[in-house]
Amino acid sequence: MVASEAVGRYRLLTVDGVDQPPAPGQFYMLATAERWGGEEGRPWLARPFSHATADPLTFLVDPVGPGSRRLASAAVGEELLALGPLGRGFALVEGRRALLVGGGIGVAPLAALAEALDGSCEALLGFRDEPCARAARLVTATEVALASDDGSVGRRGFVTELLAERLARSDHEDYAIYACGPEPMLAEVGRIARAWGVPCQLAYEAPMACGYGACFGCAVATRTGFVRLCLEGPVLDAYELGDTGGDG
Amino acid sequence: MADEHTTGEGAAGDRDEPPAIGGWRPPGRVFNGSGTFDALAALAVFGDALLERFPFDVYVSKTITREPRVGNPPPRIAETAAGMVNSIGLPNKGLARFLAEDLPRLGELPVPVCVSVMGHSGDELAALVAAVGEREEVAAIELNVSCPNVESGLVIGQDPGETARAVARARALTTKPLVVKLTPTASDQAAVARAAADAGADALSLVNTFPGTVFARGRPLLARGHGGLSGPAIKPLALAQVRTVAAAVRIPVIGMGGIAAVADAEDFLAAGASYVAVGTANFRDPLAALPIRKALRAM
Repeated sequence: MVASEAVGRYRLLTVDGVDQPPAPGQFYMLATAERWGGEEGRPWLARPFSHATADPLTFLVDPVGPGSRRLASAAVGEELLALGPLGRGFALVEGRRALLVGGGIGVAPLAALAEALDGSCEALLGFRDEPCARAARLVTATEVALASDDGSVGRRGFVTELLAERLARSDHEDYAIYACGPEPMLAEVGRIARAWGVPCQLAYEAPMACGYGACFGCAVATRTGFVRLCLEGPVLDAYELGDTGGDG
Repeated sequence: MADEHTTGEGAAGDRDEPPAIGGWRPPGRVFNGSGTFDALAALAVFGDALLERFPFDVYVSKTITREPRVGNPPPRIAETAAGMVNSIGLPNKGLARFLAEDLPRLGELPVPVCVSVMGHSGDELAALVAAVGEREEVAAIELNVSCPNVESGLVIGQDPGETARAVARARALTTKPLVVKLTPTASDQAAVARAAADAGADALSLVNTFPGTVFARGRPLLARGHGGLSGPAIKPLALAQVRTVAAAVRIPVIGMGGIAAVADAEDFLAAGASYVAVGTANFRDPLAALPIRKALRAM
């Protein structure tokens, strides 16, 4: 790891020595080479992170659990283990302007997408509060609108409200939506997109032990049954999501 | 052939050359635990680089059932101290599609393939063993007996009589080497192990996961309430069971449970195992078994 900087409540880690360039929406399994497995035996499994920028390779970390706290506390110069890039990223829809919709730490893969598009996109970003919202600067879209839970930045309310208004007022047929954030937000983004008939891809998160199809832990229901998010995702088409209750 | 089933060839724990499993000599000592490495998915992700550095001497498939299963609803996994719990629910495409789609591709792996099967009744088990046993891609069959027999309601691997019946029925249907994957929840592990050996098992593998759960905010985190604990957290438990079983039978033992490094594997060999399997450690690192494979090969 060559740099670690605070971005509001989050930390942005810059990593080198990874050869294969990732596509926006792909992810890496990250761990520290040393002292992974703290005093209570956790973290033990590596953690999935989508990259926030490809050049240089960066990851946005919200220090909320044993794995993310350990990564956020890693020192500059410390060796990180990075398996990847893994999974399927965003598949750009030809001829439609990209509308990025992000919530919290979920802005990371959208930052990578904006980078790949040279900023030629619009972004709607929602955060809990102002310290979290500082991560909005990573998303280099030409137009950015913000929402926050506490009203400290941008509109008070949910980013999905911004999305509903944007689709209602603009020519929605020009757009394709690319979203990442908490699951309730993604469900609502998918619902709004389907209501307007707008193409929509959702970058999901799931508990993931391996990242390469071995553990079957990251099952997500689609119309054709459970899929492994690490192989078929993490980006899923909002029109392909489904519901399955599992084996009786 | 029949004699080899009950007598084996070398004492368990032989450090020079591992004993044959039935008439079969695996090319090395390191297996993967069933359900901890999907070779076809890994090949799709990592490509030929994986074949050049394949981490195991023997590849054990995910458990196959006669009918397709979609598996359990999420959440399916949770991290614990030095391990994880899972309740995956054995998702698999069922016997027919496994044989038609997956097995020919597994046969192209650079190592022998052991197919894990589970039946919830004698007939289901028989159908699996007979069909898998016919296939030339299959070096050995592992019977996963950690499931209830729908006819008796007993978990097969917890009961010596149930285990003996299941193994005897499978034994009569195939000449392939039979490995029986024991259940760690049997009250008398040695009795189940002897029953399996006497009924014709060529080797025993243990341990499977231990029942476990994780709570968050006052509720179980897994959708199914609880699951199976694996990883270094269970190594002392696994080592004790391997020691007990290896002392109780003369057939080879494949020991596993929390093996993540060469020293762990050596502990299992010292406890009486002839072979080892790497399981949950594969999740952390797809090549976790490689240094173990190299070290035990040089041994």
